[in-house]
Parts: sequence; C-alpha cells; structure tokens
Amino acid sequence: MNNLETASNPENLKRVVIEPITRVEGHGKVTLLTDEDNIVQQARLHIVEFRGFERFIQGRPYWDAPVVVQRLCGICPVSHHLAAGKAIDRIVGGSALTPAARKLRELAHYGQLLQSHALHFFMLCSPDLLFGFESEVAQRNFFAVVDKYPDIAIKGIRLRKYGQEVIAAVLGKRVHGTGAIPGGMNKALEAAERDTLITDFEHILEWSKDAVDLARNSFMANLPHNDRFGSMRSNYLSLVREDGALELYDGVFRAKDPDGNIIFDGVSDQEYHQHIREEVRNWSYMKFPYLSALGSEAGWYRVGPLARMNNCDFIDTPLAEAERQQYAEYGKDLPVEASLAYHWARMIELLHCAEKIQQLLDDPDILSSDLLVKGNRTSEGIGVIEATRGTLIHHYEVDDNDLIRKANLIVATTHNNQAMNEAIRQVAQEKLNGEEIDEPLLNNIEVAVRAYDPCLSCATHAVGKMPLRVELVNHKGELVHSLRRDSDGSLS
Amino acid sequence: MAASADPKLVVFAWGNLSRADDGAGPEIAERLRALRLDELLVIEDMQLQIEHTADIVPGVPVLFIDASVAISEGFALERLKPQPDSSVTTHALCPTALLQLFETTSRRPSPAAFQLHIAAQNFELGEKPGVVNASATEAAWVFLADLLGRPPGDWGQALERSSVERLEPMRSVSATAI
Repeated sequence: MNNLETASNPENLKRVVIEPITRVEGHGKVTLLTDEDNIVQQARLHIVEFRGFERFIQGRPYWDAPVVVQRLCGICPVSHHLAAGKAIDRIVGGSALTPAARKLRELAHYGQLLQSHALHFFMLCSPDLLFGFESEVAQRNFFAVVDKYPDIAIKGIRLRKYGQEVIAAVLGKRVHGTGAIPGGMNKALEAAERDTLITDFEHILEWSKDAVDLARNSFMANLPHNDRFGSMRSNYLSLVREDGALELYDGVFRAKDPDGNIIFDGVSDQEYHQHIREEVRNWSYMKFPYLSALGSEAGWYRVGPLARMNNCDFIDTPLAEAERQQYAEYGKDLPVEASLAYHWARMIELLHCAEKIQQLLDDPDILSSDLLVKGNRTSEGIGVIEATRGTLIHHYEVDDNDLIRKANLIVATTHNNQAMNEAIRQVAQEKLNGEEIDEPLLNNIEVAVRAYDPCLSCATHAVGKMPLRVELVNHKGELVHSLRRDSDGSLS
Repeated sequence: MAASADPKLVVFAWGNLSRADDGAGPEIAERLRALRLDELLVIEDMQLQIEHTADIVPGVPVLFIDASVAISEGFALERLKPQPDSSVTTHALCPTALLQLFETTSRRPSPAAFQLHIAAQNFELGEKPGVVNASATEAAWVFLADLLGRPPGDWGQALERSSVERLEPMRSVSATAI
C-alpha cells in the first residue's frame, strides 16, 4: 500500500479539498494534504453513497426486495434487481432455476452490462480519450464528441439504446421492471420481442468490435504514460465459472495476488463473509473491504472489468476471447496493473455481452414459459453477481413474518474504495505538487477515479463539466487559495 | 415502454418512485400506459439520458414530464426549444439539451416540444409524495386526460395553445390557468 494515506504529521500540512457542489446520486470529494513545500503527503477519496438504503429495505416483505433495490441507481438497477433476485431465490429454496428463467436473467444482465459499459465509455470517458486529459474543459464533454466524432458518438448512443431495449424486452421496462421473482421469472419472452432484438444485430456486434479497437488503440497510443497512470500492484477478486471462464451472472469466487498467484479459488458465493471483511475508517462513510486471509493492510483488492480480465482463464465467446488474448499478451500473462486498462477490459466485456446476447436470442429455451421453481423456505439468502462495476453482494435475513430483518449490500464501488484512493495518490504525487491548483490537473485526478466507473462518476465527470470547489487550507484552518469551477466550465 | 409504430405524441416521464415527490413522472407514465393508446409512445426512466435522443421521432411532438421545483404548486406547461447544454451535472440531461442533441445527431429540426412541470418539494428517500405534489399530480392528470380525449392529430396543436414560453421561477400555475 502506498504510504500517503495517513501522513505522519498531518497537523503541519495544508489541505486541498476538491468537492462537487451540486446534488447528485452519490458524490465524492478529494482531500489532498500538502506540506510546506507543496508536496502531496496525503490523499483521500471521500464517498457518500447508499447511506441508509440497507435500513430502508428492512421491514419490507422479502419479495419486495428485487423491485425496491432498483431504485438505488438509475444506471445499474438491473444489477441490483438480479442480485436481490438471486438472494431471494435462496429464501424460497428456488436457486436452481429452470433453463428458461436462468437464460432470461442472463439476457437482462448482458443487456444491462452492454448499456452501462457503453454509457461509461462513450459518454463519460471518450472525451478524455479523444481530446486528452488536459484539453480545454469546454471541449471535454460528450457534445464535443458528437460534433467532432459523430460516428463514434452515434455508435455509443445506439449501443446504449440496444442494451436498454434488451432490458425492456425481458423486464417489461428499461428501469424498475419486475422480471425476477422468487424462484424464477414472471414473464416469458415473446417471439416477436426476440425477433425485434435480432433485427440489425450485426451492427451491434460490429460497433462492439469497433469499441474494443478504440479502447485498445487509445491505451496503446500513449505508452508508457497510460501504463503508469494510476497504476498499482493489488489483489484481484471476481466470480469465475468453475472451469475458469469469465462469468458474470453466477460463479465461484477467485482471488489472485499481484503476481497472478491464486489466493483462493472455487469458493462458493454463499461463503463470501468467510473471506471478505470490511474495515471502517473514521474519515470515510464507505467501508474498506479486504481479504480476511491477508488482513486489512495487505488484503485490499480490485474488482470490475480489470479484475475479471486478470482473473479468468478464458472467455467462452470467440471474438471477446481473441481480444482477451491480446490483453493477456500485453500483460505478459501477469495481471495488468494500469488503472486506464479498465477501459480496455470494459470494452472486451462489452463485446462478450454482445456475443452472449446473440447466443441467447438464438437459443430456443429463451421462449419457454417454464419459469418457476420452488423449494424449502429458509431465513437467509445471499446473491452475488458480477455487475457493471464489479462484484455485487446482496445478503438478506428474513423473519417468520416474511419481513426482511437485516440487509447487507456490498457494491463494487466499495470494493474498489482502496484502489481508487491509491490511484489518486499516484496521480497526485506526480501532478499536484504546486501551490496553484489548475483545472487540467484536477481532471487528471478525475480521470483516475473515472477509470473505475464508480457510482460517483456521475459527479466526477458531469459529462465533461464537473462543478468543483477547490480550497487550500493550512494547518490553522486558514484559507490559502481557492478555485471554483461552475457547471458551465468557467473558473472563478 | 408502450410500443407504437406511428405515434402522434412521444412522452418522456422520469423520476424515482422511492424519493417522495420525485415519483410524479413515473406515476403519470403508469397512468398513460394504462390507457393503451396506440398513438402514444410513453418512455419512462429514472433520468433523462443521452440515448433518449434516439427515441425522438422526427415531426412528432414531444412531451417531457417531471417533478419540478420551478413552481410552488400545481403544474405548468412550458414550450421548449433546443439549447446547447449549460447545466449538466451528471450523465443525465435536461430536455432542451436532449433536443439539441437530436438536431445534431439526426441533422433534422427538433419536433415541437413541451415540458409538463409538476410541483415538487421533497425528494427524501423512502418518503411518500407530499400534499402539494399529490395535488399537482392529480391536476396534471386532469389536464392530460382532457388532452388525450381529443383526436390524436390535434394533440400537438393543443399543447402549443396551452404552453407558455418561459417559466417564472417559483411562480404558481394552476390547472385552470392552463
């Protein structure tokens, strides 16, 4: 772990605060402590997210959970819906789904990953990649991409829309659908709905391949900078299929160390709490998960596309597997450490999801109406899924009146908490060693955070124009320097 | 989403049902879907987002429906024009920016567009809609029911006649005013 998280003498440091000033779903601020020589000594990413939601679920009927949890987020409601659905399956003894129900859930999941990955890459990150991290703020937004690279922008819009249409076909609506119910699904896919999704699918596959090309070429075009930017040695955690394939809906846990050695493998998702602990630190609302076998100091890890790509042995769809092999070759068969490689891994997953959607739409099971199973009622359910941003864990305990007594949600942004702090420190050490804080330097920090696609990316990117207030405060609490950036990009 | 091959009106309604008054848009969307009108394309989401530009149909009027703090009670119908975005704070868009994006990506003029503002005050997680918002939602629904009771070919003109160019912040607009 980098030694800058807690400075040895914070009382003698100046404080630089980077904080969004508008109301968003989840927001963060960055605090940098510099010493008298303006050298960054401490960096912390504070995230305010999901507070109170676990309590909000308590007292509700368990079958309500998959519907209600979708309102956590407007971007990944389907991931929460499915993770909660998997947990509730356990409570009714219905985790061994029928083939049709399983495939419908997978179809919705791949649609969700496709649309969310497209949103993040094309609409939030492409301005950085196409115009440069330190380009003019007026240019660094999706509308500028539409102006200058309309073909890329339109592909992004259509990929996103296609993913939403897949979700709507399976769950009834783009958001807040009600497909997953305890032990299965409540609606079969109609042949007409399937046929609509198949129409023009070749374009989706082609655009997905183009997206991988763009992500890979952007990464490779600026080496060694991109390899070094926010890079770190870490452990990696994800689900994999039992044979080691990339698995996004249902698998077993695998953890690797920075050298690619297995820490554990084949662990049931029902045993997550035996291998993952969460540490509370007094300066952050978010917990810091770690692998219990390694302890809190050495056991932090990364999740999400980079971790999944580093952890899996292969991908079971041909186009994505070919791309993964290039990725593995770049990493010399060791885990790729660069934070910016998240974008590359993310687009390989996008291509994989497109291929999976095609496979599922061609599968006769997808139209079956055999959608429900039942079993023995239990009082506890755990559902784990590889969501867009990484491993998503829902854990519920239910009382005899069918009401949720306890809920524990560990979301991907939480898993990546330590990693995002580390990435910020890396960038801050290199870029923010002056007394004057300018906007391009701030964006480098945002770029590092954004690579992880955290929920606070809404705030940290703002489609290119993140409202910020920057303050330098000395150890006496005196304001030394301040900088404010408004939502229109103007500085004051 | 209600499918329609040849809509006469595209409706976008958004918000979060778990956040008190913010659920006004989805509430109205649910009622609109229940009407099962072939000429009405209803799109509900949590936020208005960039890909919604692909749902706009050239030449077909658009009605945006959202909870709003721009008025203190009742509802208001605002005429919208495309505008480059100047207030983006997340990946979510304001309606005028979406219209601008439509013109840029399609290279066609934006259709006539309107926003139905429903007065809202409270957005706390887990709370129910307040009295002011509930009353405003019902008033807005009466207005929409009247609109949709007319021939579909008249919907756009009726919206045009009922709309105002620009909302005055915090100005009260009641159903009877419209």
